[in-house]
Amino acid sequence: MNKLSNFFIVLAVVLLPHLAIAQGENSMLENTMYQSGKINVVIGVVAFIFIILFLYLLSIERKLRRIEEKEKNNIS
Amino acid sequence: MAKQWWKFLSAFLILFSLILGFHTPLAPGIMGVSPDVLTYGATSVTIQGYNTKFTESGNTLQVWLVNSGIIYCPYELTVVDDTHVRASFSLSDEVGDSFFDLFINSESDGTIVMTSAFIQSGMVVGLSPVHPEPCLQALAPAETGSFNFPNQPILYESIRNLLFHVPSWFAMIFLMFVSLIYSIRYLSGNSIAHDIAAANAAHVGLVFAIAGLVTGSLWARFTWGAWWVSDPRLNGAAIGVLIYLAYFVLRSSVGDDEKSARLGAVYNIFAFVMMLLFVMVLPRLTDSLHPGVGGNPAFNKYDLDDNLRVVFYPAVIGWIGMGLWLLEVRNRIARIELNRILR
Amino acid sequence: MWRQVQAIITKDLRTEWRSKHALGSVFLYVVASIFVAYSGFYQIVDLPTWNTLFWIIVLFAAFNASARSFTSETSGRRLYLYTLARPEAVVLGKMIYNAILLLVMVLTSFAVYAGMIGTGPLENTDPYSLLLALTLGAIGLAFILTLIAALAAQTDNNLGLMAILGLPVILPMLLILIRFSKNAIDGIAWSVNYTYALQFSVIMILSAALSYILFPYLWRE
Repeated sequence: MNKLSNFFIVLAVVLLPHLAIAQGENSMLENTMYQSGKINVVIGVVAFIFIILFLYLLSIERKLRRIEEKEKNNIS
Repeated sequence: MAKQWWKFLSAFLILFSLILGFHTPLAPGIMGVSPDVLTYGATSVTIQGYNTKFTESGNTLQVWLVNSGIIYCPYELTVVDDTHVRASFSLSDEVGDSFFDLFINSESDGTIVMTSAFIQSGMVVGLSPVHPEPCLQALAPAETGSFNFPNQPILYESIRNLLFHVPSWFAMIFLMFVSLIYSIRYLSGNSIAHDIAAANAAHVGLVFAIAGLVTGSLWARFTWGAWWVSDPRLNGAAIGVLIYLAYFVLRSSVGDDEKSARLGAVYNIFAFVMMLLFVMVLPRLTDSLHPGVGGNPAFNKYDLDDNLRVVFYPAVIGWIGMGLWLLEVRNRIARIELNRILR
Repeated sequence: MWRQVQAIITKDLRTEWRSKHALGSVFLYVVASIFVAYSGFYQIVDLPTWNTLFWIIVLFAAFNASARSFTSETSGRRLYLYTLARPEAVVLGKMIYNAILLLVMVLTSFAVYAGMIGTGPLENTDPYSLLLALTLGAIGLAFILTLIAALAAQTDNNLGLMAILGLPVILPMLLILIRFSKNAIDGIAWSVNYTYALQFSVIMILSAALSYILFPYLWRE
């Protein structure tokens, strides 16, 4: 279950930009990205790095929580 | 708390790269011209600058074209605002080359260039172009004091991505190297903790690889025009990801812990060498959109000027530190789990 | 040790000769896939397609052939071999045996392939470079695939895992090989083409050395 959801998270992260562009080439995304010297590309890149790190931290935390629950069951 | 300093250091370095990476202005440059066609006779064009201060330079502003070594000056020059200037050229009917390079020199911005800014139309391209009279005045020296990033055509502001996209690849390679070391230590010592550490390092490295792929894909879309281009370095990175995915498939497909550790370690060592070949060696052999190809190490030929370098290296160290931190957390969790099983 | 290597090679060759199992099935595989290609394309005139298709067919045949090199022995016989020979001797023997097997396979399938898909692109071929490309290709594929086969043989899902593990690591080698043999068929001068041969040999030697070092860890059980 955990492995599978991880897989879907990875899939979503990889496919997200592709889905966003699927609506048409001259979309809003395109206009935003090209304006003011393509600065928004940089913002997008930094945002993606932070999103990926955030998701990874979430997955680590979930692992930790599982162990915590097992510890609790052992003690009581 | 004694050995925590490197975490603070890497967090600080990432913050440093974020602040300087966004705060540093881009060097002045020419963004575009309209129209980009010059015809025989008089043509008026509007030149759009980027981060330029045309109004401040006043009368010292000079605009000229270079075509096969011959310099053409405009007969009329009007500054519209800081980033727009109108120039009118009167050209003879024979030129030496189809393309004109555009140069602008001013006191505030130094000399800025746009190569092949204009294409000729309706002129004769021949061997005996007409030489106009020399028209350039003494040039104002380039401003050197300010700290800014190079202004490259097509890239423009997105050159800052170098500070965020490339370090994730460095972090990935570094973590894979850590994983390799742990695998070697596992094979020589047979301690299951080393095997878990190797798998964790590969896992964190894979996360950085995915970050590199996604951000690279985004950057490529708005500079090279496609989400995925057939570029040897890009393909190499994708193969690297595939190799490490295969590593995890191998580990999970063997039930026996000791056996899966042994097979995984062997494959990890083999795979790291092959991945290094693919990511570092093969792209140099063929043409690549990435800079630094054709037999040269990526570093020297990166259009990495000193100002970018000042921010780039701290960013690399910072992200490597961040990766090691994630690895440490995962290792500690794994250790608790291992102890619980052993109890 | 060299005598152990020799013994393993002769033993493998002899069992092979008696059953003709591996060679026969690989040959059948190659012929079948060439026939499929033939019924799709009839004749291929375009050199890059011709060349790439040949190496793809050879690649999968090589996977098939070398996957058998460790699973053909029952676990009892493997244990017996383990007590007799040093692991280094076993891996060297298997590598050389696989190289011989693949060499025969590559050369025959090249003949069959050229016969069925057409010899159109072969007009300006530099025969010595082409022969070198085929030979190096067979040996290099054998060297890498031997270790991968040894890995996959220890798991339950032998052939499936073999493809997953093998394809990504073999790609650098395959890309150089395809370019090398394309240049050889195109008749490009040896002074230009030798860099590919050199790079290929470096990867080949590297992978052989790695297999030699790593195999003993796989072998101990």
